[in-house]
Amino acid sequence: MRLSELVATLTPATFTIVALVMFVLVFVGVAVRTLRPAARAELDAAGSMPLDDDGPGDREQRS
Amino acid sequence: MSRTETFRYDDDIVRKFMVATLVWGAVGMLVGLWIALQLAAPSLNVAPYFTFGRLRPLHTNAVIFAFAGNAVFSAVYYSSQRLLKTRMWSDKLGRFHFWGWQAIIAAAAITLPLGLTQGKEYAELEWPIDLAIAVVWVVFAINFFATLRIRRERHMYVAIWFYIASIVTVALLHIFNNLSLPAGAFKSYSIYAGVQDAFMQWWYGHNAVAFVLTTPFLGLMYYFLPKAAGRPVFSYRLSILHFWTLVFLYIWAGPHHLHYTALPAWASTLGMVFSIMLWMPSWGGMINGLLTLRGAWNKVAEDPVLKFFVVGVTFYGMSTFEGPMMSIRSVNALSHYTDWTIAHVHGGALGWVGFMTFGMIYWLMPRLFQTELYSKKLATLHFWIATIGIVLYVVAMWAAGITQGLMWRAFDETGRLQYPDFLQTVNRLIPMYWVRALGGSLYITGTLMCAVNMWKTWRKRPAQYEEPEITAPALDDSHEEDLRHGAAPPAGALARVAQARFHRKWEGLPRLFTILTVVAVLVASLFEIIPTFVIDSNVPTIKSVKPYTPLELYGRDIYIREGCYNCHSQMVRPFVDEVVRYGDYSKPGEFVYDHPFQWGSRRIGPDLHREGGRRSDVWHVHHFRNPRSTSKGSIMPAYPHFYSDDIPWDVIQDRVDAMAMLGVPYDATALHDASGLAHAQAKQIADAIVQQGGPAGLQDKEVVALIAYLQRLGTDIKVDQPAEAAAPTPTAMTTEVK
Repeated sequence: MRLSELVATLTPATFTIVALVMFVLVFVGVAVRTLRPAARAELDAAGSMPLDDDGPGDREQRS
Repeated sequence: MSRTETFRYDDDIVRKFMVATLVWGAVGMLVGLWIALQLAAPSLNVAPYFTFGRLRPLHTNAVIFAFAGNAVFSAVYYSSQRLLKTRMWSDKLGRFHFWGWQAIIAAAAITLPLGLTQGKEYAELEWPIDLAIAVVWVVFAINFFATLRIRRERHMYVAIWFYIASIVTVALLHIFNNLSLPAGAFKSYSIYAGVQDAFMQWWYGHNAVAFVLTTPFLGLMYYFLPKAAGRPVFSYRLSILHFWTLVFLYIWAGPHHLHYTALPAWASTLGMVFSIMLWMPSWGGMINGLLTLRGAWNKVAEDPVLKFFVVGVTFYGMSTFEGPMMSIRSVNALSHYTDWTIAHVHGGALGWVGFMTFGMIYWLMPRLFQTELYSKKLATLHFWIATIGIVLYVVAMWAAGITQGLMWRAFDETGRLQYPDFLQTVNRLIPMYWVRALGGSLYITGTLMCAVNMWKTWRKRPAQYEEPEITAPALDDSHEEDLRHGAAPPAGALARVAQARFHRKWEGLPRLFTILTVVAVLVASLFEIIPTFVIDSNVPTIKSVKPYTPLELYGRDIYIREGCYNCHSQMVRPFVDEVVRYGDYSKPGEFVYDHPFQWGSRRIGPDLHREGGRRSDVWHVHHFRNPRSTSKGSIMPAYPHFYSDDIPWDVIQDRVDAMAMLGVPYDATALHDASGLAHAQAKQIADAIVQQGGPAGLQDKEVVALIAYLQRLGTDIKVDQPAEAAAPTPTAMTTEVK
């Protein structure tokens, strides 16, 4: 079966529904992974990364 | 325990980009002010180089790619080095990126006023510059990804994710939207036509908003806002959800720019639904930004940096509420083609992009110049004056947009258009255009204050910048290194395993992470684009639609060159008022030879899709010479060079050949003697002009080509109605002139 034939059997509605399902799956996957308790401590630590660099200016905190 | 390494950050490159941000920002905004004033006072158009149609692309390109672009690069080079604990991989590539980008901007500033343009919004730059952009962007990407490889932090902070998504997506957007066939050194035709070109263009256009003006600035927010507030982001986990949801959703939203056009309804609905869904992650991000200041609100009162950030993030929230609202079809029916769109983009551009940039600049200045900021008071004044400027600007444009939108669709009690003369709906807006110009002036005044502050701070810099040595442990393969100090060790073996996998297999691996991001973006794009291109029923063929004649094609090139699409749409939407005002609504099949499409996005002037045959040739002759002679109160520029410049007959064959290569079915005569055909048609039109009482001797002049094009517009499907299409008698026309 050629690709064009395959595509010809699809209607636009198929694409939109598949799109929505894909999004929901990705969202649930990311949400579950991110919100699981095991990740909490580690992610909270990662969240403070910007604050523990000590570049030239930050040590002096001039502003 | 791994060995410790020492290195230095490259701040010189950040200084360069920061100064360029401000310089180009001032230039881009001043051009913006100029074109705002041109709408209020058309005499400020200086043909041929400085008309609204040529300057507006210069304004948009300058503020998007020069101001925001350089701001993004400043943020990326400063924060990535620190978040990854490494110097950039290559200083040389960084310099090449900087100077290459500035050269591209300079090339844009020269070619756009010269009228060298592809005629697609925010993608106007012609093919040689597009190639240069691709090269510079790839160099930037190589340097960035190589820096990721040599990093000394295993976990990539969320700001880095936003940068990665921006870098790869912009590359994709730029390449696919700019695919075109050169027809000369600075002339090319989009390989897509009509509906498909429109679709690609707004896939690009909306995602330029997403991946140039939003995601990199979110990266900026997630780094610089915690820095300025002195506390970590409110919820890092929310920022992860923010990232993935945004990257996945944004790419679908483009079709909301094409509601009620000849785009198939399913694509328009898809764009609308995903746009509304975008509201959620956007507000998640806004809340995350604002709540980062919990317990630190007192700092906002004292610190201009935080003031800029707080209002910037608030404008992000406003724009990302307004955007989804405007993407709802029934709202869009009113807002589209009006100044409401202009209000929306400037809320986002001046408020979000501008204020995040200025906040970052004020935060960076003392650190990069290694001295105190020259004046905190001046920075605070900048903040207030710019805020007032935004409010004046946006409120004026909201009022203008809704006013004009309502006037277009108003019918009187007899069932006729209440404002049949389009100019009535334009002249009502002039006072609001002055208010907008005032608001813009205030904003620019603020920008100039920032420039003074930067100049004075720079003058106080030390004779030699300090470049402290940084020490950090090298990254090795042990996952124990992941555990940042302060983090509690995970409880239980399962959690430990899960955590190690989590780091190693996903966010910790730039390659895999990048691939996943690309997949998210690509899959969405393909799901929308493929059906548009392969399902035949999307663009039903209309037999009577024929290619443009060689002269009309050249006239169309003039139309593109002068940027007519910046003010005139070519898309009659299927609404009663539009059909009454302009004629039959536009069909997808009418645009199959339009490389590129010219549907436009704003009706500063009336729609032109059914312009063919509405007016006599001589009317156009007088109108282009002085639009106010035929249309009292018109704000269109005059085009005297249409009467002095000859048609370059020898290029016409090249243009026709290029079109033929794109699949436009020209016949043998056109393929061998396009110039001869064009000459003959030009002579015909010039004769008609004389017959109608107009000036003689125009057969070689550009105006004839443009008239040929305009008289052709939308006529292919009007063949059955000759009575309507007939031009008014010459005497009726000449009386209108002077």
